[in-house]
Amino acid sequence: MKGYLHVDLDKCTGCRTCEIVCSLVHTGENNPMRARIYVIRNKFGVEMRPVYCRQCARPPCAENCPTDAIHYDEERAMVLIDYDKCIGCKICVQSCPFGAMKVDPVTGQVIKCDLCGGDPQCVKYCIDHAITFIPIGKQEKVIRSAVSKL
Amino acid sequence: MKVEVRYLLMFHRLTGKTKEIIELEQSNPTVRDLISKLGQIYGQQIVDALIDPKTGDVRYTPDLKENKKAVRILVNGRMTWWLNGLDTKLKEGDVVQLFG
Amino acid sequence: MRYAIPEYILRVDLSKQKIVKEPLPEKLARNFLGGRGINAKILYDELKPGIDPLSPENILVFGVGPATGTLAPASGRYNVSAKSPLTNFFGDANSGGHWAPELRYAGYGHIVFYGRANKPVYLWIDDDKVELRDASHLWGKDTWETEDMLIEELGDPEVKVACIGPAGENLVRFACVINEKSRAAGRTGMGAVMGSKNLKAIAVRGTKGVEVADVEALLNFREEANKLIANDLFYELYSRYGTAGLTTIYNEFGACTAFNSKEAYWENAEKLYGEVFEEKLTVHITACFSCPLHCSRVYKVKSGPYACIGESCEFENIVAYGTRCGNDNLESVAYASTLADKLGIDTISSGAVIAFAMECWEKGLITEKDTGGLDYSWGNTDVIIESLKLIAQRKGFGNLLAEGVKRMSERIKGSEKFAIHIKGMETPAVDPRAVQGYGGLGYAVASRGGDHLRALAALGYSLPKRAKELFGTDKAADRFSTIAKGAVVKFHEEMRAVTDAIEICKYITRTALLLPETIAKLINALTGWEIDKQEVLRIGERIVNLERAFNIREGLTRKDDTQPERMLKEPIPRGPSKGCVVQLEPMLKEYYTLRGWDLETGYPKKEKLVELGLDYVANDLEKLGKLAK
Repeated sequence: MKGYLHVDLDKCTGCRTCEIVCSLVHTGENNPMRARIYVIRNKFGVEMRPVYCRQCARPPCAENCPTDAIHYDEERAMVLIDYDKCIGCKICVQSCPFGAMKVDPVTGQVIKCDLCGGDPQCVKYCIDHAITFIPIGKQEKVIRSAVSKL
Repeated sequence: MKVEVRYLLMFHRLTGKTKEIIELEQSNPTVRDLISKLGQIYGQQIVDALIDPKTGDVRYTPDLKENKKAVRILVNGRMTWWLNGLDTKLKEGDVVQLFG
Repeated sequence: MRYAIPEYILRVDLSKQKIVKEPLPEKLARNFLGGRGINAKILYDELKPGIDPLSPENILVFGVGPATGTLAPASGRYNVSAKSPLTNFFGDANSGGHWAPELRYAGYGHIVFYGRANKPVYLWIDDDKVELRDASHLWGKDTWETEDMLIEELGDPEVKVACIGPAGENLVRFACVINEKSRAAGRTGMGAVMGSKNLKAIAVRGTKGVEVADVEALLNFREEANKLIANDLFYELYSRYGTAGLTTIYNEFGACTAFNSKEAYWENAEKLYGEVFEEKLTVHITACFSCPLHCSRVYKVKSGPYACIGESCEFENIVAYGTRCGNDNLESVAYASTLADKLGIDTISSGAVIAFAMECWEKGLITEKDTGGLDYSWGNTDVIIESLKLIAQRKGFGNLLAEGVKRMSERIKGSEKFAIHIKGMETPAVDPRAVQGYGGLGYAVASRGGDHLRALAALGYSLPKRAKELFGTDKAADRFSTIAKGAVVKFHEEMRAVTDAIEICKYITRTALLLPETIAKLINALTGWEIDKQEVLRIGERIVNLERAFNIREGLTRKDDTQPERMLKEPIPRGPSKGCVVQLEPMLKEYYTLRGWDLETGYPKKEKLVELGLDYVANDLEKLGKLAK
């Protein structure tokens, strides 16, 4: 299913369950360092901010990639990495304005959110629904609730 | 006849109140009468939260399928389980605590 | 292949500045799991009985377990254990947050500290690199300053710090260890032991992972666990109101410690209820590592004399600085709570010593001459806050308060009758008279003294249906009845020991994930062992008995398994639990019988220890003449 992740910052408790689930389903290991999502926690600044790939339609990581290893796949509405082309230069890591591109400390490869192929597991385990998956074409509800907060 | 009802936790959220005096018309009212009175004031929602239609008793255990939580009703600090359940008699000045 | 069990134990000799890394044997984990269990084993095996807890001979152990840092729910816990300077018995405290997973990701299960450094030091663990560093510049700083300075110095915002404040440095007998500014390994004075060793902090950064035996099973377990937790009777209470919600429940039960346990119900406590806290002070709901329950919250008092920001002003803190001291000013309670975190003082014990001083004041046993001019009238908020500062520095009257209620009562004539402590540790917020199993028996037999978390017999007052399934009678869940309370407390003690040993939180296992079959499933998914519910209970029983043996060796007898005189003799004067006292004897008898402990001495019997694989412990006790016939 086409869609994207949406985070409600008011609901995020900073428990980092998303980090562990992510690393577990992608690497079989419980290791936040290998997760494609991570939470910046500033408790007394009262900010819990999950950082993750926005699946940009014009992704800066792709635009700056010297080997065209990254592209936006319109059909899946997702930014994908072609590891056959990737030379591991990490320019994408520096290019991402959200800090969503990481380097896996075990494989040395750059990693990013792949929405678990359309069924993001972080969403499933986030008990407070701080992270939700918004199917494209059905974002109305989110926008409405965002507008109501203005 | 008047009793004091205290709305704790979930019931604070449902009613927006912490406590209030409820007047019951019956001469020998029970917890069941109180709940039906609360239903008149706050709607069926509060009745559904308190009574499990499957057992006809207080919702002592959660209903995972219906997504209903377990609750406790206390009369003067004593759980209705140890009293007479929904048929527990109430008298003037009793304190009924609802929590869940 | 070995899974989930941490790879190494670190042994740090502070006197010789020597660090040794040794493998953690799987067999040790198989018998004691980790965390509190292995901590207890290390202390029993290595600590010389009869030593002064504040001398270099004491051993201080930090431990995490097989669940730490994994997707297991609420897997951010660690235990700190040593001989307690408060009780002179087994000392142990547990804390949450994100420190424990960091240690686990660095590859370590336990850190054992020996001796005493000749100047202040901190331990810096950066994955495989472990070193002792000078902490002279940190000495005297509070826990918040210490953490900020260390993170700055080490240059990585993900470094996690557990440290002591001035209270630990000054050997306050109930000083605690604080990690991430607001999470406390609170009880039994572990901060003082750290201070006595000149160890200011442990800073950790770990970047490795934890492999588990069955990824699929762990994912499924967590999915099921989330469902059970979300539908638990207490979920709304914890997740929406935090433990502050318990203030509401226990006061409505008439089980809320007030005025140094003269009362167990207070009308004014309504001003301190969870609902009020949420509305007035909560600014954001926060959680420890991997926790679906998120009972923690950041709170803020925006202006006025009590302006502050902090995290986790728990039910225990609200009672300690609130009802226990006759104080209904919520903002002052929040302020005192933040201050205690910064100074590194256990909130329960500190609230209790202040309340005890207040009753001494009321009865004219102490005067301004003793207190240095401070007025210890009930509810004097300023004196509560001032006391904390004096305690941490051991200045003036604070020097006496810093000794704890038991030692205070030995010096203030006529105060023993209302000295509220068990085995030297101040009892917590729930009045044991109103909850026979949870408090009456649970506190009396807890290995670390007046404590609710060893048994946390939550089922003993809340779930009659479940109680009937487990214990054959719903009366097991009747808080006024003594029926089946021995069985209830034993069962809960076993389960709490196991969850402390695998290191997941007691609040998710409080009722939602309480059952041994549930925990067996988790342990098996993590480790690949195939253990059943009987084995889970057996491991719990083994840990409880080992802690018991530790205490017996230190001189504990049946007379120590008791309640303060007030709890046994003075009925609760008012409120929904009016007239109750702790009916200890019948419960204790049932409990000892089920435990296989001698009814007269409280010593374990040989058969029981042998059955649990603790033959060598039986031999030790036999040599000391402390094994029951």
